Amino acid sequence: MDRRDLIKLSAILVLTLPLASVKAEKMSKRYSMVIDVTKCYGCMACVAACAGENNVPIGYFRTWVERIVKPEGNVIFVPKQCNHCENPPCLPPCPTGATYRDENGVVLVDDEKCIGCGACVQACPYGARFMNPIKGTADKCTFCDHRLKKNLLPACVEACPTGARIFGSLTEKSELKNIIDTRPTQTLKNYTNANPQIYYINLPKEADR
Amino acid sequence: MANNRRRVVKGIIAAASLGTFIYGYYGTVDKILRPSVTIYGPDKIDGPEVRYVYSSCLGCNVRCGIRVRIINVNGVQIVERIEGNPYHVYNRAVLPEKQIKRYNPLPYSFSARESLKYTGTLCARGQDGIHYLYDPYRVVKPLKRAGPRGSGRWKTISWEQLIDEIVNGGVIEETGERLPGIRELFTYGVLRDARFEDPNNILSRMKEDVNQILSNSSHLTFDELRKKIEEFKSKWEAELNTKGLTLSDILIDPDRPDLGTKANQIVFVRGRGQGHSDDFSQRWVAAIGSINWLRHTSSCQLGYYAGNRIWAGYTDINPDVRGAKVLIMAGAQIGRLHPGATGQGLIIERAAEGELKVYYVNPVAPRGDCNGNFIWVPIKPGTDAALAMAMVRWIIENGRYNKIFLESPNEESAKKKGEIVYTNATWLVITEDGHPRGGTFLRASDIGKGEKNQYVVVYNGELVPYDTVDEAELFYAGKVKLSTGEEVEVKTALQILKDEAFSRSIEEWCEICGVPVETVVRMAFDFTNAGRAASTYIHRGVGMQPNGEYSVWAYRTLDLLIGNYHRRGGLMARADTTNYNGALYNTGPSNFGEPVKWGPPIDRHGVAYEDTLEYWVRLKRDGNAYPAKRPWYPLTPEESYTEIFAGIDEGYPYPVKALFMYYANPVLAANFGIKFIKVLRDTEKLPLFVAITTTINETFLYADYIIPDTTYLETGTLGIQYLYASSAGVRYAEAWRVPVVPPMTMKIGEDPNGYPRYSSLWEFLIDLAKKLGTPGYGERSIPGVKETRYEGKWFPLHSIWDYIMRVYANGAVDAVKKGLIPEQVPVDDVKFVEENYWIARFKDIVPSEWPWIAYAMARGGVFTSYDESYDENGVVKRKPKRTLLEFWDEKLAMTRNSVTGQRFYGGPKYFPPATYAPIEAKTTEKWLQGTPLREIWPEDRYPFLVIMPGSPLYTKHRSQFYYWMKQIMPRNYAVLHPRDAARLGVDTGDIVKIETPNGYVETPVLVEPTTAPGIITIPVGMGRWADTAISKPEYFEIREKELKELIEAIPEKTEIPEDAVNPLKVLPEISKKTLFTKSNKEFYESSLAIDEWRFNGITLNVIASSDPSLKDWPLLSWVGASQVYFYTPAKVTKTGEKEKITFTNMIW
Amino acid sequence: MIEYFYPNEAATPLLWEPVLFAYTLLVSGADLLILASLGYLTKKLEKTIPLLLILGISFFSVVLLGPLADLRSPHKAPLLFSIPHISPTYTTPGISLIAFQSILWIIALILSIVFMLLYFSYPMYLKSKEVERFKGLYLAFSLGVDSREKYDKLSLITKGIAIILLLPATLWGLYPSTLLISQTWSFVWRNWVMLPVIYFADTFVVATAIAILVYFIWRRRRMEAEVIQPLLKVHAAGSLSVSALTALQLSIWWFWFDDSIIIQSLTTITSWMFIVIALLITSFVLSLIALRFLVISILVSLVAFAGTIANKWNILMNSQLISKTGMGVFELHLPADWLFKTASPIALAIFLLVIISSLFPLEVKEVG
Repeated sequence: MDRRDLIKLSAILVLTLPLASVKAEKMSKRYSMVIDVTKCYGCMACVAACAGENNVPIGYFRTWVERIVKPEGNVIFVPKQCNHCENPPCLPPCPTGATYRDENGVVLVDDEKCIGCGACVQACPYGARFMNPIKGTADKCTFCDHRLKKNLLPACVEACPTGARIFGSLTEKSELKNIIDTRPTQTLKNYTNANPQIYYINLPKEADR
Repeated sequence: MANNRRRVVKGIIAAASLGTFIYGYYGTVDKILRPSVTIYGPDKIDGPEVRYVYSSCLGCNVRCGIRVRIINVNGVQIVERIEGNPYHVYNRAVLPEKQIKRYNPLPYSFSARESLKYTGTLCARGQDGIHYLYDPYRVVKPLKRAGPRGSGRWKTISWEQLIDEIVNGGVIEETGERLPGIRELFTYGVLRDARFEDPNNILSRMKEDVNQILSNSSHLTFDELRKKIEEFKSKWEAELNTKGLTLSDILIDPDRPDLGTKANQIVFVRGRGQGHSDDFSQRWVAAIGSINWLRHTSSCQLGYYAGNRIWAGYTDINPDVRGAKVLIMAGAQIGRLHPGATGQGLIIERAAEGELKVYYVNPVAPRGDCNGNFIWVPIKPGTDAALAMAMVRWIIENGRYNKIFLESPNEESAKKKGEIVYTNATWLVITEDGHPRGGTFLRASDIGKGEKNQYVVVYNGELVPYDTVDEAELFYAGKVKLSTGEEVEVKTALQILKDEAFSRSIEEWCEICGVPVETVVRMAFDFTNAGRAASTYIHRGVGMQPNGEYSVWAYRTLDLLIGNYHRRGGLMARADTTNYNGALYNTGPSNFGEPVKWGPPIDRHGVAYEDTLEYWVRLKRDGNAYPAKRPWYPLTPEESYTEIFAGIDEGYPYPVKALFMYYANPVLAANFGIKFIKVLRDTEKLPLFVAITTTINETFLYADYIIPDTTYLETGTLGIQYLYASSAGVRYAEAWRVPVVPPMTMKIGEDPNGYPRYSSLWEFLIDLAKKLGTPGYGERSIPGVKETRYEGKWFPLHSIWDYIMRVYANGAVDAVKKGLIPEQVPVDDVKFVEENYWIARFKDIVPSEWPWIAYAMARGGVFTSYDESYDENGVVKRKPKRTLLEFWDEKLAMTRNSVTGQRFYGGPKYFPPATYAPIEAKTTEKWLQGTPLREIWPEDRYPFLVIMPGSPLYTKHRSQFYYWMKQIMPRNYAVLHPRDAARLGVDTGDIVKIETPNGYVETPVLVEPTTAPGIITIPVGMGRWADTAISKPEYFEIREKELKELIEAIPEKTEIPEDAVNPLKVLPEISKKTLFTKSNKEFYESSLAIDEWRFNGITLNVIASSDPSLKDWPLLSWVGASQVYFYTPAKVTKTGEKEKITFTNMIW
Repeated sequence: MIEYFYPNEAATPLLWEPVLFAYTLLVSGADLLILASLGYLTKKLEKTIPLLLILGISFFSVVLLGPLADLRSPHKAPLLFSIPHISPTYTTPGISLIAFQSILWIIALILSIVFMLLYFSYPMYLKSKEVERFKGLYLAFSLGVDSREKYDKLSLITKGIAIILLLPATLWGLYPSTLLISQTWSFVWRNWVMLPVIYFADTFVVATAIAILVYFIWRRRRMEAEVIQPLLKVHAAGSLSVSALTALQLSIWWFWFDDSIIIQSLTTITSWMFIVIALLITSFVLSLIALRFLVISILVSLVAFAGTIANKWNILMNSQLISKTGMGVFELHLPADWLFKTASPIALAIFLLVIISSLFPLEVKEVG
């Protein structure tokens, strides 16, 4: 039994309290991102851009890049971050409803409401959340929603020198939608049935962890 | 009774439990009543207190564009975010509707205000300039050492005292030492103060006499030569005595007048200079009258420069990566070589999209594999020429070279075929062994068929002058009778290359370089299968070797064979720029009335030993002038750290009196730079050492005076930056760097216009020059350019603003003339600059040119589009630097080794890495002057070679403050191939001792197959021990006794007044917390606490290779004098200790 | 072992500090209240009800102090009650167990206090007769129940309250294990399939252990078999089932992960499990012996404490040090003041115990 199926088995077996999620009234943009692994060469521009734009404290990461060394020596870099899931496991546990998803599917945290309990950090299967020591609240990638409101691109997408990160809407005509409709893509740890919305191109097997 | 006792017990339990609760829970209650957390959001993007400035980055030397967002936080301007400049050709624009194939920048005419909606890409170091600006270790006040040199004790002095003491001399109160001023070295001033009306008249006539002696010395006897020198001395002694001066007041050494005036004893060395800090410091050194304006180029890419200059007549040549289909990327680092981590994004995306195939010839694995279009070709360091020769052999054997292009012997015949350059492939070279003319081209006059300046080619079996035919034989070898009757062997230049390539089989070549034969064949096939859109993309790994120049040339013969020069996808030099030093105002480093100067530079580059008086005197006296005390490097275009310090140490060719060093760190930057400390500490050999810097590094620890400098986000390296090859393959490109925030160093006053002046390189040089009274400073300083409306007018130079605004004016006016900037500038662009740019307040200096300046400033430079830069058959519209490209170079073939006196080989050839001069056993190979390094340090004693490659994360050793990178890769380690690790019995985390001939380094190991077997890779960027604060290094030990003691003598800590450092006090609390979350408060609040990230890790340079044939000064390449970084033999032993390297830190 | 974990995990390996679990580390849930209610409803454990009730309330009232101390923004804690996330919407789907349980805590606490007041109403009246000092106070607490008949009529209501109390108390017995297993993605918690059952069984081990200990200290040589024996029996059943279930969980993991890297990551967890099993088996055996030799019961409760603390520490602390990927283990670094911080809520509970027990008697004679 491969390790991955076992975890899947356990996930189903588990006693889960009702995770009823009410259908959205108006799904407008459903923002998402494509990460083309073949174009990432680990220059960390996205990590620095994110830290700069959002004042992320040192040592904590809203996005990070994994380095995988193949047996014959070549190196693959895989950027990772919050997947802004369509069925986010991190939302139910929040005691005050501080973390939520907006109408475009972007998962956010309302700092005013967050009491800093860390339940959402424990609940994220992708390690994409952390407790911000300065704000005393949960912190995560926001797809730079403060920039989206001014129809600017997220900082990491703009900084990427190779075009490895493509951002856009799944429901409206966009380069992103074109890629998703025409090319094979992969998502991370599908057994979580969180339905992650970061679509990878050429995601190496070793990185699906 | 029991009841009573029970009540007491209950009371105790109650009290104890209540006490525990209060003691344990007090913290939480306090957090509730006085919350220490503060909510903050991402930065503001627009609004009244937000402004944007386009400028140019200096995270490394590539000069990408940046757009900086500055927010006014209650009166203080804080840099909040740095993004890419969408107009810049390296950054390329990213639009919400255009994110894939981000190949193009915004059109240059695009409105500045609109451009804020789009961004350019930008690498991590560009983004993290914020940690560069806000560095707690930055010095903000002028300092003077308050103890012996290198004691780490400093005191603040006033700006006036600083200038006065450096000019007139000062005393170190604590030790009683007397430091000399530079006044009496300023020869022009000495003459002027002795009331000679026209000092330059004296100097030019004296220079004329020196040249007279030199030009006649070849046909004089020793006595005649000595008499000539005596005549010279008495003549000038007399003339000078009329005003009370003697010749030794003027010349360094009256018996060696060709060494130049005493001004040459003032040496200026710049490390990371760039546009206009270079021109300005060069102008200052010219104003002093010294020949010694020197750069760090040997520690940068001098081997690559010298190699290119030989075959192409220009130093910096690399491919147009936008148009190339195949690239042989040899000895070049992904994310470092121009166009840098940002610009190279284009290479990666094109490769991933299948438009480009890259063969990555490097002992270190490439980053990412781009759908298999990035092929790793591991190679043994120093053997690149062998790989090139194998490919040359295959290409010639299969006839896959561009015959038609190569056959044109002269420029006209090439032009007829639509070519813009031609080669000397067909010219005949005299290859007769031992013949005095050996290595030179056969001339028509030699065989009585024409003039002396006509080369000879073979046409239909007949020897004819090269300019009488349109094509000639490519391969020819034979005997020819000279008019002198001698019979000599001659070969065409291409024949010589062929013979070298065919001197070994392809298998033998592959044996030397360790690359499999089928890979070489595939590379050669692909390279010659892409028309002309294939080229070699090479850099330090190839050039920074003892045989660097020959290896660079060997690779470039591949480009010559397919004739890709100056074409889309082929090799190119740098983009043209505007005439930014000479369109209206002469802001260049000459003809502003500067003193006459002559003489060799202290590091003897660009000057032949055979052109010095010392050579002729020794030749005439002893019949042989070799060996020279230190080598001379006539063919290298720029300077070498090793020879600067060896020159100072041995006072050769003359002693140095004052060293000004700016933005450099030779002790750490050069291989075995540790040896320079011997010179820096010696107050006899180096009486005055002045440093202009942002922090006190490992070299400036030994300075007498520290002048606080500004970073590139303030006024550091301000001005117009040309771009390196190939400058994204466009016609015109230059990045403009403007101040983003006012300087954070001490304000030293105002200039006559009332503009603020802050401590920096600029103001220091201005005030020093004005104190000395040199030409070109003060009221009448900057002359107007002839045939412009300012001809004959002079402009003042009292502060940086007077100078730099006129530089921008030159650039802007010339851009208008070239049609790059419209006559009528959109008003909104000017308004955009005046609202956002701090420098706009100085626009009144150049009111009439301001609108055009604003147009260029609003776009961060002057750029043209890629598609408009080519004609219909794909030739770039730039003017080629030199139209002759060489397979053989006569000048190199005539140049002699300063120690052996033997001539160098004049063509591309494989040599094993060797010393400059022979050691005991004579060399084994013809034309090899030194002893192969592997004979001195054989493989059995030193089985490994250690290299230190760059990466997109760190820029050499000046990037340890990039905390956004440090959090990803806090420290470095030695990367070992699993096969080597198994043999040594080590695994990841084991601490090993890496021992080289010069000492050892202890470091944890990372076992990975990303480095070739037998090669140890240490990622660059760490191992610092002094950066204003000091953290004594424990990770290395030097073998040589004296140097070992110098390292032990490094002080435990710096003693420096608290108000002299740390400009961070202005920062709001939130910024400090987010920028320095992991650091303890003292590090960024007050004194110079040690932050571990600034001083951890290791560097290989401390124990890298030195040259035993030249008294163990750091090893250089033979022809180009470039530091050898990639050939350090070493052995590895296990120490048994361990250090945990967690998974997340195995990223480099 | 190919190590792999998320950078944010490396930034804060231990997200929830021991203080968060201060209450559940030692006492775990409203176990005492459950026993008190069951005892009252089934007429068993008659004599121990006052002890269980006072102990239960004094410990259950401090439950939320632990989590409060662990919040990064404790000053915003009231939001937990003003905007609890207990009704799923599109933007905030699902129900937060933390919010749900916190509200249950209020309900359970009120119910248990009313239950206590009602239960002690008549004894308070009798006490007000005997004693002069605080006569008025005792009279007040008698709530006007001055006769046996009123008290019996009243017992209907108390029974109702006891029954209602059972629901929130039981849910608290299953908490926080339900949270750990269903609303987190910690590798260990999600794979610890038997956790809720183990945790619930553990409540009875702890409840009885505390009751035995307090009773032992209070009555020492003059312990009455009638009070202590039922406790020992419940304790025996509890400790046996916890160790059995833990052993079952161990075998599930071996079966699932056998030799893979996962089992290497779990070594700390699995080795602690052996200790827990050993301790609780000892406690089970001792409690059987103690049925005969009552004095042994002090040993029973001490061994039980050791077993439950080890078990809870293993579940709540050691598990957090295993990465969500299952392929990385972090070292435990506790903040300097963790011990006092963790002990402080328990200290408050003890203080409340002393205060309440000085008002309400730990033992009520005639009320059957």
